[in-house]
Amino acid sequence: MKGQVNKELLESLIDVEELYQDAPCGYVSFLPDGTIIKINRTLLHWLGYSEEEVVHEKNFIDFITKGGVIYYEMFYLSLLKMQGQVSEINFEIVRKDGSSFPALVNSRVLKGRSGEQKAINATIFDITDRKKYERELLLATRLAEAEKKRFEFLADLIPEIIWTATAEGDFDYVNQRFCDYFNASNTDLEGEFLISKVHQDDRVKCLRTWVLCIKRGCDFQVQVRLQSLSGDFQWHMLRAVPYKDSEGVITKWFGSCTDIDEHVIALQRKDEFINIASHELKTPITSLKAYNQLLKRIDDKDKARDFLDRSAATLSNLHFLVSSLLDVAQINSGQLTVNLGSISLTKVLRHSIDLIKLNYSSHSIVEEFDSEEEIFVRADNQRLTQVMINLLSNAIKYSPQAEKIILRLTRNEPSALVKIEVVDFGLGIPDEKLDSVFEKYYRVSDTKNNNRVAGLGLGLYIIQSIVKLHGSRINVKSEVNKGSTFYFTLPVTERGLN
Amino acid sequence: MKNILERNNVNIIGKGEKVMLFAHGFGCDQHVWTYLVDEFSSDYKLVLFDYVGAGKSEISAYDSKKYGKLEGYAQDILDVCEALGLKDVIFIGHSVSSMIGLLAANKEPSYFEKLIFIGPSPRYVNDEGYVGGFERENLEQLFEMMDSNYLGWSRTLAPAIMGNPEKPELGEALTNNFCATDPKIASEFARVTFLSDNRSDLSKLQVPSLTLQCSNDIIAPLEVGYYMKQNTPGNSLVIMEATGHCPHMSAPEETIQAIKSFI
Repeated sequence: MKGQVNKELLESLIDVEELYQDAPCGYVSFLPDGTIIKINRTLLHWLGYSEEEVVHEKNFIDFITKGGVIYYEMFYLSLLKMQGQVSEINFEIVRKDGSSFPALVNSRVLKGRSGEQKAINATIFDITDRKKYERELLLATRLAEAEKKRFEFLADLIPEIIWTATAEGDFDYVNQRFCDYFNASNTDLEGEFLISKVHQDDRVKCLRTWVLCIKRGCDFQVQVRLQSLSGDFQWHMLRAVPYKDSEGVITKWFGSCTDIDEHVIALQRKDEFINIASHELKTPITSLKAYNQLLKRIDDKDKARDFLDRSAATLSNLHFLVSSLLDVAQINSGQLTVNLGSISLTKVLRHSIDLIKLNYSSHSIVEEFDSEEEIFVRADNQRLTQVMINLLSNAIKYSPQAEKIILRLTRNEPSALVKIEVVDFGLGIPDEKLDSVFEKYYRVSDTKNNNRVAGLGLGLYIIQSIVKLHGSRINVKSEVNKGSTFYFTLPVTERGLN
Repeated sequence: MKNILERNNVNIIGKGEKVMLFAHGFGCDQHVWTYLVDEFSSDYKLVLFDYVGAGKSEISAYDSKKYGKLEGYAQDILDVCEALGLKDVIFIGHSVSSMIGLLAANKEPSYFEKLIFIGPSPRYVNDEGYVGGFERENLEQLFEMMDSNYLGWSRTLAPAIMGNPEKPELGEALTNNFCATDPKIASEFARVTFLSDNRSDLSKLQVPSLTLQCSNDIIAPLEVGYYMKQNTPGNSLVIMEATGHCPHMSAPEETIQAIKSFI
C-alpha cells in the first residue's frame, strides 16, 4: 500500500491557517521597533485581547513585565541582532487584566536582502505547569536537604561516633565525633584511611564481617581496637544496621561506634582476678590437705599440736581471703554497711598492733601517739580495725628491707579531726600509679621479685570503700625506694557519746 | 603587563595614532562594537577589552568583593591604560560603562582626553526629585529573570535540584552563547549596575564628555540625559533619533556621526 496514498488527501489534511491560529503555543510577529503586526488566536486567548486591540496597537514590550523590559532592551535585542535568533528565554507575560503567566519565548529575525531586520517572529510557550513542578521539585529537594542537615546536626550532637554507608558498603557520612577522634575531615571517607585506623590484628576480622554482612544484609557487629588521635588503641564496638526502603531493598547502612575500652579492660581484669583468686585459694587448701594427711599418720601429741596450730593459721588465712571476696561482693551490690558510733580510736590501734605483732615479727612498729590519752572517734569498731590491720600489714609487706614502720596520730583541734598515718620505708609507688592503687584488682607489680608480694589486689579497694562509708578518704604520698605514707582523717567525738 | 592584557582579553585594532578605548555595557562583551570598529579602524588605534567576568576574560580573576562596586570595574580600565601606557584616549562607554569610565577619569584624568557616554545613567532607581526610570520592584523582577535565564531556562533549576549550584554544567552547549557569562558573575554585575548611585561623582569630572541619549530609551529615559547634562561639567548632550538602549547596534550610522562631530 506504500506510496499509494492520495496526494490530494494528504494535502487536504493540513490547513496551515488553522494550525497557526489554534496551535498549542502562541505566535506573534512584530517589527524591529516592537509594533505587533500578527498574532494567533491561542495567544490572544491567553492574553484576553481581541485581534483589533493588538495588531498595530500594541508593542511587544506591553506584554512583558517592566523588569522583563530591561532584560529585553539590554540583552534580548542585542542577542537578536548578533545571533539572528534567541531561544528559550523565560519572560513573565502580562495579560490584559494585569495578571501574568511564565512563558518561554523563542524569537527569530526575518532579514531583508541587505541583512536588515524586517520583522521578528516569536513563539510563546505557556510553562505555568512546568514552573509549578519545578517549584515542587525544588521544594522537595530543599526539604530533603533540610532533613539531611537535621540528621547531621543530631548526629554531631551525639558523643558517639555515627556513620552511614551506601548499600555497597562505602562510607558516605561520618559525624563530628568521628572527625575529632581521628583528627580527620568528614571527607576522609576512603576505605583505606578507615582500615588504617583499625588495629592490625583486628583488620581481617573486621573486613570479613563487614563484607559478609553487606552480602547477607544482616546486622553488623564487631569489636575492634581503633587508633585515636594520641596513637593509643582503644576497644570499640562497631555496629551497623541496614536501612531498607518500602520494598525491602537495602538503601543504606546506619552505623555507630562505641568506645567500650573501659568495659573490655574491666572484663580482662576480672578474668585475671579469677585466675589469681583461684590460685590464692588453692594454696592454703593444698596446705590444709597436707596437714590433714600428716595428722593422720602422726602419733606424737606435741607434733600433732604444732600441725594443728599451723593448719589453724592457714584456715584463718583462708577465712581472710573469703571474707575479702565477700566484702567486694557487698561493695559491688552496695550492701556493705558500717555501724557508726563513738568508739575509742586508741583501743582500736592497740588491738590492731597486737594482732599485727602476732603475725609479723620482722618490723618494729613505732607508735607516734600518746597511748595513755584515749581519743574517741565516730567509726565502726570492727571495720576500722580491718582498715588499720590492712594498712599496717601492707606497710610491712611492701618494705621487706626496712626494720620499722610508723603509726602516727595528729590532732587537728579547730576542725576536730584526727589524722591517722601509716608510714613505711619500702618500695614506694611511682607517681603514675598512685591513682590506681585503690582500684579493684590492682596489685603492685614487682617483676624483679616475681610476685614476692602476693594477694588478691582487693585490700586497698575494700578499706577505701570502708573509709568512704565513714565520710572520709584514704590518701597516699609516696616516693620510689623511700617509702609510702597512707593517711586518712576521722572526726573526734566526745568520750562515750553514741 | 601581559597578565592584564590576557586577563581583560585586550585586542588592539586599527592604523591610527589616536587611541579610542571601547568599554562594553553590562551583560555583553567587546563584540557589541563590531559596527563602530569597522568605521573607525582606518583612522584610529582601537583598544577593545572585556571586563573581568565577561566575554573571554579570565574568569578566575573575578573577585566578588572587588567587583561588588563599579570602582572595581573602573580599575580594569585604569589597569588596561597603564599596561599599554595610554594617555589622552577617547573613551567610549555603553550603558553602565559610562559611569565606570567616569569613575576611572575622576581617578586618573590624565589618561583621558574625551569621554563618550552611550545611554548613561547615574542612577536607575527613582528617588525623591529624581527620575531614574525604575522602581526597586522592577529591578527585583529583572534579577529574578537574570537568575532564571542566564544559561537557558532548563539549566537554571538543574544545579539547584542536583544540589550543586556552584558548578552549573558550563561545558554544555549554551542556549545563547553570545554574551555568555558565569551566571553568578552576571547576577552580581546586574545588582552592582542597577543598584548603583553615582550622582555625586558627576560634578567631579574634569574631562570633556558627550552624552548620546536615544529618544526612546526605557533603560535611560530622557530625564536622565538632561540630568547628566545639568550635573556634569563640560558635558554635551545629543538626543538621537534612534530608539532603544543600544544605538551603536541598532543605528550605527547615526551613532558614528554623533561621535565624529564630537571628536
